[in-house]
Amino acid sequence: MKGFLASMYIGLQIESNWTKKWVWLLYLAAYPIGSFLAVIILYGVFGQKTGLLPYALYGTIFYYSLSMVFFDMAFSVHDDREHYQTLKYIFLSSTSYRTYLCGRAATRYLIALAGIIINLCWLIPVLRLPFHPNWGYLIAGAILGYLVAAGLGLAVASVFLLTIKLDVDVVDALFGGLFVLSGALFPPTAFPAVFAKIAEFVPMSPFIELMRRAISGKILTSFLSDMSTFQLLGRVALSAAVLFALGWVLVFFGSRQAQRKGYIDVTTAF
Amino acid sequence: MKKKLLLFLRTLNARAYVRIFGQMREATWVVASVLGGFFTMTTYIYLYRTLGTGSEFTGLVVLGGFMTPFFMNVLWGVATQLYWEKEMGNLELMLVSPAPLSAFLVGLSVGGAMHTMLRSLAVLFFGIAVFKVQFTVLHLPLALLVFLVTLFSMYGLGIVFSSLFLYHGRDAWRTADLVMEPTNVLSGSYFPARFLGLGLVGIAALIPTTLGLDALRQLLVPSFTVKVLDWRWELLILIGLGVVFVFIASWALRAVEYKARRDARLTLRWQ
Repeated sequence: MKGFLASMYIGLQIESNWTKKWVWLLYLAAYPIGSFLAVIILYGVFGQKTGLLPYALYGTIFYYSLSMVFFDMAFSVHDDREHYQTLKYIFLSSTSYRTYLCGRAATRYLIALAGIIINLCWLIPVLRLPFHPNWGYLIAGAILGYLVAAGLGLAVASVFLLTIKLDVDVVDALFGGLFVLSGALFPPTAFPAVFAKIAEFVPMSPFIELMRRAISGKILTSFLSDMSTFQLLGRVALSAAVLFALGWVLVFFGSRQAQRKGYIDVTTAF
Repeated sequence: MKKKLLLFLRTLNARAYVRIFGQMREATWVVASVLGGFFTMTTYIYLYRTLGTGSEFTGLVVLGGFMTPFFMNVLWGVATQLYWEKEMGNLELMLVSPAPLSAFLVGLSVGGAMHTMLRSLAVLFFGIAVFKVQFTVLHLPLALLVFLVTLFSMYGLGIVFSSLFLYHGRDAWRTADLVMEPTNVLSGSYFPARFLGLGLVGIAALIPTTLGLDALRQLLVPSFTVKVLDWRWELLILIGLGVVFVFIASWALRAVEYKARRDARLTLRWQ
């Protein structure tokens, strides 16, 4: 636990100590805007009659919370090894590398959630988004969301540990593919039937739908509408458990292999 | 003078070579960036289908998908490059060499544009093949001219930012990260920029992609009517922007390099 909290603190320092505190707070509030700006413009111009704005906006925002963790965990391997050249010291410390990654991810997730909350404070009244929160589901969903994102992040981090020249473009592509399929921006029912079915099993889909229902208090489209909110929570819990366990094991083996191959302190200047 | 020019060209060539061939050595980079671009394009095409807009929007998104990698390259491959060189410890070596920093940046831009071209063409190809998009080739030479002028202007802007970022540390990287997505949106990569309204378009026009993409859409998508300005005007503005950016870049590079030397920021890492 001590190592986890220390890693969270390091994560906070990395995220925030590049500027003054008040500038960072502005950055924190402004950063998520990029994720939903296109949604507001496109649904504002073309989609007013569809009534899908709340679906897309909530979906995009909650996907953003996952993607930040996912991206940051993968990038931190490269950043610590190549940029700051501190990966070897992290491995030498008494805290396990998995704990370190999870601690950093927790900070990133909390920062992303803080940015989301700040923006929802003005988005909900201005855009008249449905807001009938079920706090129980919201909190449970937020905790499970961390585990889903951290599980995926750990899995990608294990790949990054074993490859010294892998670029973050790979994470971007994966993140982009999951974004299309997760139904964050539009109901996957728009896809051909095969892809619509696949969309239901993308790990992010039930989490995003759960959070949408938990915050809006209603089912916004037919996507996953055959499942009750409790069933959704169950599916998110299952995804979280499987992904987190998988990521945990992969980083364990990835770390061992990376140490054997001498990839912990290698720099390529790529 | 001849010696200086020769040195400039040799530096340009050397940096462009690394950018073109270095990036090709890792197949995963190329595949991932093409896939990333394709997925973004797919997202917006299906979004338009959900919203029930006309099929011409598919063509607009595919063109946006073609241009977006160039902007990403300008932002991450040119604007933040001197920051990365500083972080990797290469900047001090570059500065003590007789090679001019401006040649290095121009080489970076030329190389970056060439290696991004391959990826962008792949995204365009998949967009056309998968979504059955049709473009008119009647004005292809003019479209090529507009495209090249847009690149000139975009990379000019990249060099301006590169100069400014030279002085800064991690805040430069954070700034680039912060502006990336809003800039993509405002430049009309995913929809006609006209829908932003005149006030926002006026600001967005400072990003060369906005007018470049609008002009390309006018020339290549026959049913495109929601233009910002006539493409001829847009071409003139882009030329003007490019020239202005080059002047600002050359001034900023000297001024910021001097300031960075004076304040001992050129070798300051991890700040």
